[in-house]
Order: sequence, then structure tokens, then C-alpha cells
Amino acid sequence: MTTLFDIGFEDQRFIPDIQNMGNFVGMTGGTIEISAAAALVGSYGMAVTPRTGGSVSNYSNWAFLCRYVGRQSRFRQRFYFDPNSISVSNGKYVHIAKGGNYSDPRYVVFMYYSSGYYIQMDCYTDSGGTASSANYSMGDQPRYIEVDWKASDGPGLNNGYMNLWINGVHQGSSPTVSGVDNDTKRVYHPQLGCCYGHSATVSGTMYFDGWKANDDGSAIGA
Amino acid sequence: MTLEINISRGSSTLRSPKITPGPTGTRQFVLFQGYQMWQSSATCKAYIDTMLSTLAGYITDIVPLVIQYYVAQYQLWGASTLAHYTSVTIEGHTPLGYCIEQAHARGIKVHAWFVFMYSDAWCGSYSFLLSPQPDTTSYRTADDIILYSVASTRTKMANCLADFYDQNPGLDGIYLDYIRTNANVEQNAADITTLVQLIRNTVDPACTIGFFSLANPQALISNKQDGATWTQNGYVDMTFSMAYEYNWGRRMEYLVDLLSKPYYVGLSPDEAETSQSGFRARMWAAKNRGYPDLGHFQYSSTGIYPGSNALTALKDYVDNKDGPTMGNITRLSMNWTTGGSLSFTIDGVTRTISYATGSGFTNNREWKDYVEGLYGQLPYLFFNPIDTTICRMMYGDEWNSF
Repeated sequence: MTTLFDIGFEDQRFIPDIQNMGNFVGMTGGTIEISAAAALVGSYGMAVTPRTGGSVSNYSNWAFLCRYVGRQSRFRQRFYFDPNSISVSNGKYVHIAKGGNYSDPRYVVFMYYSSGYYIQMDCYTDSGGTASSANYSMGDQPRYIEVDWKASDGPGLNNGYMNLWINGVHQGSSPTVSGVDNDTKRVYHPQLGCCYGHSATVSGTMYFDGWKANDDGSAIGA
Repeated sequence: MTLEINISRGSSTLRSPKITPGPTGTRQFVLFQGYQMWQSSATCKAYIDTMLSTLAGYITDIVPLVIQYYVAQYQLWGASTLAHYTSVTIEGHTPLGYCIEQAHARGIKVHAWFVFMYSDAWCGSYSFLLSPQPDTTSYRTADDIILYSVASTRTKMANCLADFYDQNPGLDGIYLDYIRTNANVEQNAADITTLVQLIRNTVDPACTIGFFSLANPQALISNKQDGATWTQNGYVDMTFSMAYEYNWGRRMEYLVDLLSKPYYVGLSPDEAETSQSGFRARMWAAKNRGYPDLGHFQYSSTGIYPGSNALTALKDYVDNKDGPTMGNITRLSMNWTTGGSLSFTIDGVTRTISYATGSGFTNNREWKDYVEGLYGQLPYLFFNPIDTTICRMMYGDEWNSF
């Protein structure tokens, strides 16, 4: 197994190994901060506050951490997440993790709000469509989220998939999202934070911590 | 893809005495020096001697050095350069030959720099350029744009380069600048690929070939050039990106990942660097971002001389590989619409930059200069991988535009 990165924010740096290529903090509005208040594991974590009253949408009010990991056909990650009672307009969603840029995300993990917080995933196909999971309630407490993304093995095989665990409990069928035609997709700029939104009016602060990833799908856990 | 085989080669009387073999070694930093060849023999010699001894004093790694060597009215040197090149001799060498000899003696490589696109770089009265003259099938006479779609033009250009390399012993390589289609005239990037392939097949295999790429990986889509194919097929050995500190970003990582060949990103493109700290910041920002090699594409002779900002910064870079102490950014906050503010916390100290509605920035560089003028803190920001994001976030709509 190759650990691609392991960011705990304990040294109070967004990117501890800055010699690595292409890491950056992306931002089009709001605040992103390393703070003790955001700690979900250890002493420090990452707090993301979308611009108050702003609408999180295309290019607006994003604030996220991005890693460059080379082109990965398999990408398994774990991160701690706490909605921290953030206010999100009902029926709207905010991307909290994605596997590429805006025009080609590879995958997205989003927080969906409908009288409560839910986690849902979209797996992008070669044709530009998405294969979506159901949404899974996650409550308003710190959780660790584990996501395993895999590209399909070749043209026509259509065996790409995604799996989701919340606090170590697998969600949905196995895989959570299956039969995806995504053999041309590669993850190489995974993001974590407030990466996109569907015209969601957001107010408050979300916490992230303990972002770790590997390239062979090995379980990461708490 | 069409394979062109070149069977016709020209000849020239340009010769240099036997030259010391060039150095071998690692690559790290390229200085592009546009040297004015039309000056007197004594002036040329003094300048080359001073420049090379200065570089050798500062640099411990191999430094390919490019001597500007072309004529193009659209560039800074004017159309008389080559005529003087042929008439000036230094200790029995052409200026280029003398430079090669002196550079090699100091462990520095020399590559010759050729500009494409416009015919006046190739169609003057010089026998080894495109000939016979006037060769109106090679270019559009209205604006001197070379017509790469004409097979005979491609052949002549490849022959020019091959002859040039053969006639300048010791030359370590050539650079192909401005080698792309002009979409207003021709729009077929495949013609350029055919030309580059032909150059590779025609020029001596020992000659290193580099090219200047557009910063935008969408260049192929816009039918300008297909640098990825050139590198992946081995037509070129080095890539020099015309991307500078204010447009480094995610797409650059894409290029680095894609091209798999030595890849140099630019530091300050076309201006004399006015600030050592600014130059140093750019160097370390590039290294911190993981760009494997740096290029200083200096377009004039003003940047490289003893004590110049560029060389002083370069010396700092060589002497202190780890770079200066970086400020640690722990908080970044932005609130903007058409006016607003940016604040950031570095090493526990928060700075806030406010700008009014209608500040009138038209590009990221203007904004960077504005910030730098306010606080002088940009070097800190550059040392952090956040750098380009700060430059970008003024212009969210440009997120995917380069």
C-alpha cells in the first residue's frame, strides 16, 4: 500500500509536505483556517466558513484544500467531518470532497440538507453523466467518512465503483455505487472543504480533520 | 500522422574553429540571454567574457545558456542582427562560436534560439535561411506569417536548423520559439507537428531540441501546437513553458505530469527584474510548487550582469537550497464582490487588504502588484503553495480559463 498523504493539521500547516507538487488552498470566498476549535482528532483541524450570506455555487465562495496525487485509478480516503450545525438552505447541497476540478470532478461527496444532514456520492462516468448513491443520514456530530473510488478496468467493462463508510459502517449495497463506466477517469486533484454548491445559502462553519488517502483501497479506519 | 523525410540539405560557409566539448550534468535552471550580436567585436567579446565569468562564479550546476540568434522585426533585436553576426569575429570565432568555447570551458552549455511564426526570421538575404528569395510560397506577404502547410517550407526550415547545427561545432542544442500556428492564417496544429518531427529527423541526433510551449494545455484544442505529442514521441527533449509566476496553477501541474520531459517554467518573462526579493520569491515559489526546473527567459541584456538582481537571487538560490524561512499561513479569508477585502494570518499576525469597488484590476498581475505595494508581504505568500490561489481568487470566473 502506498499512503498518498496523511494530513492531521497538527503542525498548523495546510500542507505539511510543501515540496510536493501542486498542493494548494483553493478559495473564491469565505474563510479557511487551521484552528484548535476545528480539531476532531488531535489538537488542530481545518475550519471552513463559507462567506456569510453568500450562495455556494459555480465559482462562488469555495474554500478547500487540494492535494496533487498523480493520476490514480484507485483512491481511498478517510476524513473527519463535523457539520457543526452549519445552516444550509433546505433541499440544497454542498460538495465537501471531490476528485478533480469543477469541469471533471471524477467523484463528489456532498452534504445534503433536508431537515437534517445527509451524505451522498456521485461517481462521474466517461460520458459525463453520474452514478449516484442514495443519501445516508449522518447527524450533526463529528464522524469519520471513508470513501473508496475505483476506475473501471477497461473500456466496456464498466466495473468502476465507490464505497462509503460512516464511522466505519458501510453504507448501502456493496459497492455503494457499482457498475460505473469510468475507465478513462483518474483522480489527481482531490479536494476537501467547501468545493462547490448548488446555489446553497450557507451560514456557519464546518470542521474537517485527519485527511488520509492510499492508492490500493486498503481500509484506513479511524 | 504523415512522415516527412528530408533529402535535401543546404550548405553554408559559416564555420568556427574546433570547440571544447560541452559539459554534461544535471539540469536545474536556464538563463535565456538575448545578446546583441551586432555590436563591435571588442564589445561582443567583453560582454561574453563578463557574462560567462559571472555566471560561472555564481552557478555550480550546469546552466544552458541561450544566445539570441535570429532576426525578426517583431522581436527586440531588429533585423540587422544576423548580418552583423556574419561579419563580427572574435579570436577567429563567430560570436556564437566564441561563446560556445568560453561557455564550455566554464561548464556551461549553449543553445541557439530560433524564432518561428514570422518569415523575416528566415527569409532575409541570408543564404542559409529560406531561399531562394523572395520565397513567397513560404509565407503570407501581407503580414510575413509563415505558411506551415507548405511542405517545401517545412523542409527548408528543417534544413536551416540542421545546417546551422552542423556549422556551429560544439553547439549543445537549439530552441524553437513561437512555433505554433497563427489561427488567423492557418489553424492546423498537425502541420506544426509534422514540422517538428521533420526537424528531429533532420537535425543531428546529438542536438538537444527544446521548444517554448504555450502555458495553456488547451493549445491543441485551439489548433496552435501539440507539445504533448512532440514530447511523448521524442521530437523534442525539453519544454519551456511560457507560463510565469502569475499564471502558475493547476493546469501547470497537468502539463508537468503529461509531458514527462524536462520542463522549465518561467520566471519573469520580458522585463528587467527590479527586485531581488521578488525574483527570489518567484524562484522558491516555483520550487515549492514542485516545478522541476526553472527558466529565466530574459529578453534583454539588462538582467544578467555582475550584481544584477537576477544573478544575485540566483546565487542565493544556489547557496541556500532550502530557501528562506517561510511564513506559515494558517488562515485565509476573503470577502468580495466588486469590492471587498482579503485577510490572511501569517505566523500569527493577521493582515487585511481592502480594495474598493471598481478598483479596476484587469489581470492578476495588477492585483499582485497592488498587494505588494501595500504590504510587501507577497514573498511570504509566494513561499506558500497558496500563492496562485490568492492571485486567482480575485477572478473566480477565470478559474478554468487557462
